[in-house]
Amino acid sequence: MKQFEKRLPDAELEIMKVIWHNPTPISTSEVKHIIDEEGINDWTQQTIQTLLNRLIAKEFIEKGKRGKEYLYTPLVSESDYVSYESKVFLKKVHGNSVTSFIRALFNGKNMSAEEIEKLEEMFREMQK
Amino acid sequence: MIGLLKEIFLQVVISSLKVTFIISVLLLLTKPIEIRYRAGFRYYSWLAVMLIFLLPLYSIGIQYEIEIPRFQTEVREVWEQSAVPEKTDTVIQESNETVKCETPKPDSVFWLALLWMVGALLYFVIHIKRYRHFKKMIKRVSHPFSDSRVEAILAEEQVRLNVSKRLSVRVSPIADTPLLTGVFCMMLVLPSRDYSNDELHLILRHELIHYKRNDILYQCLTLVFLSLHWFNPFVYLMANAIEIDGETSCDEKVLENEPYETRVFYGEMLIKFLKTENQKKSYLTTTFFGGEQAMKKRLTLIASKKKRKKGAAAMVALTAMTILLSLTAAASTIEFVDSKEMVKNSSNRENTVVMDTGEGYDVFIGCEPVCESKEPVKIPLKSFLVFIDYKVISENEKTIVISNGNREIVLSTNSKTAMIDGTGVALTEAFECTDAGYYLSLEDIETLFSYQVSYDPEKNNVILSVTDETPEAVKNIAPPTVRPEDHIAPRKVTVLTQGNTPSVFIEGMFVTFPDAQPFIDEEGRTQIPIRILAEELNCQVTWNPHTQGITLISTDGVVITTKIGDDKLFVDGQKIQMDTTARIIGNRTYLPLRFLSEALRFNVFWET
Repeated sequence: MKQFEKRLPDAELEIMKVIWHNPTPISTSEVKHIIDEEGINDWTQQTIQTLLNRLIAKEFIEKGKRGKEYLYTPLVSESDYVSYESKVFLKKVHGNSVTSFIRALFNGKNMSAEEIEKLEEMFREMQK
Repeated sequence: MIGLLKEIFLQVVISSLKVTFIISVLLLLTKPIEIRYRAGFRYYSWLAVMLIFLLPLYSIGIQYEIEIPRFQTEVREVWEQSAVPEKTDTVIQESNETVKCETPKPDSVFWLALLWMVGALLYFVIHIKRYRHFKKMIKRVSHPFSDSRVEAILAEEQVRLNVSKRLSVRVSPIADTPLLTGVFCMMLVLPSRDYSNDELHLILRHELIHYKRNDILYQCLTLVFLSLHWFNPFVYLMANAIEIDGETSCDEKVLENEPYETRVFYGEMLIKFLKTENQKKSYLTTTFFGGEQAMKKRLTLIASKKKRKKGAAAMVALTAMTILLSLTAAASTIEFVDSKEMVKNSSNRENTVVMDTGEGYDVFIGCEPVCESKEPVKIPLKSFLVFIDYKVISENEKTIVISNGNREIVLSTNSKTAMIDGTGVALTEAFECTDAGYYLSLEDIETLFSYQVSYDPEKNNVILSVTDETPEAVKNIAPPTVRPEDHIAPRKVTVLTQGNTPSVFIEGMFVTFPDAQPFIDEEGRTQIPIRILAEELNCQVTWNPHTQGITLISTDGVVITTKIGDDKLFVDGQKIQMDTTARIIGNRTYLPLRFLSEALRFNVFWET
């Protein structure tokens, strides 16, 4: 698994998300089309091309050619990359959530497998 | 500004104490409440407590602002009244002091208030920043999601819960729990995994209930409350309880009117999620309260078959009790503001004298008690007089005559005797006149005026309380005697001078001077050893070695004071200019007979 030294800047991550969540290989114009549809970022073809080139340099994607168009394929899977960020994220989710404006379905912080086991037993016991 | 900050700080401290009480009661009653009432009761009881305690703070803040101008004019008036017109230098000096007391010095309360404010702001700002960062982050690690099945179930639940607004749903590969976030723009984040339809129904319903109940807004309020009370550990306990009660009450709503199988299914689902997501969070180190406590409570409630009451009546009772407590807090605070706290506040700015008139406190700022090294504490006479309705009738450098219309008091500097309506009253301390004005010790204030005096050395506050009974010292004073000068038969003193040695006869009786003898000084005045003569005339003589002062009190209560080397005699405060001086020769104090006779109103016959 690739070691991530730094987190991706927001813009580059946006491009990566498009690549991850759409059929690949994918062309520059397809990426632009999807980003336009999302309507969050207003990027030109040139901007997107620059971002793609940076991602190639960082070895997140690779470039192939089909006819006149360049096509891009991810080299890094989404789950691999985001797990790099997950530590901080989950810490925030399960931190002091009263004041973090998060309503999680459950908060399993600091629970061991045995503790969960115990809970399950207790729950079963109580149904009787 | 400093005053306002301190004011707010004190309010927060008071309400924090009251809140601590309520939180403790509610936490102690956790068990019985849980058995009897629904989780929603607990969840909203916290909200009620917080809301009620956030309100009085505001109203008192307003009241304070109205208070300020009135208070300052009062101070000015005091000074204007106490200033003596003919002494312009005193007026200037005193008005300078007035300016000084309007720009109070920072003290310990101020620093605490500042610490509190900085802490509160930091707490608030840091949490808001964290949230913004989190929101950015969650966008990074999730992506918009559209799945017709999820959409359909969401729409179904929205109809069921009567929520019309469309929520944005995102999926995140790293989230370990479905979650709702966003203060202004709500966002629902689901961990990327496969859900059954039944699971989706319950999950979405749970989050939609959070949304519908404005639980995020509740969290905002909690943050504000926590920021204000960041120094109070009980408030953190409450925040933790709010968190758990929020979830249990949400579960309660999710499962409302659902068959028991659904409850079991829901509980098992939570356990399943816990198990599968457990791997994701092996990194999490200890947190203050583990999730186990919350999960246990939730599962217990889910499995419970017992019907619980909504507790509407109990909620009304709790709210009423809290309002009452908060009002008494507010009321006592207002009283506090009006009296003691105002006093404390003002005394913190400047040392003050406070008068308890029984109906409330009067404060006079600028009337600064003096506490030189240790004892005794003295307060400035003139500023004090204004508050007890006494006026200065006449004054000179050495004597001041004051009256309230009924009683007239004569005070002479460096004299240990005061005259009340012509009757001598012994003072514990010599009446003092410094550059700043006249000062009287507390004990003497007690003696001369009917006040009980207490002194708070920490704050340098003097508190004077009105007493119904006149102090003993005043009681013991003989009723004022009329002393018309003509009615007293003048005593006859004869001085027979032979050479340079005068012999003194009182009513024809020869006065023997055992050691020091009378003599005629360079001015031609007969100098008499005062103690011997005074005793013969039944006068009291006191000698103050520190001030070199002599005080003579005649049987009629005439007080005569002078100093060694001084060419002035003060008779009940009236100056008599002498052409010679009082002096000490050997161990005896001498006073010129001529002026003594004027003061004591006896006749002297000179014979050779």
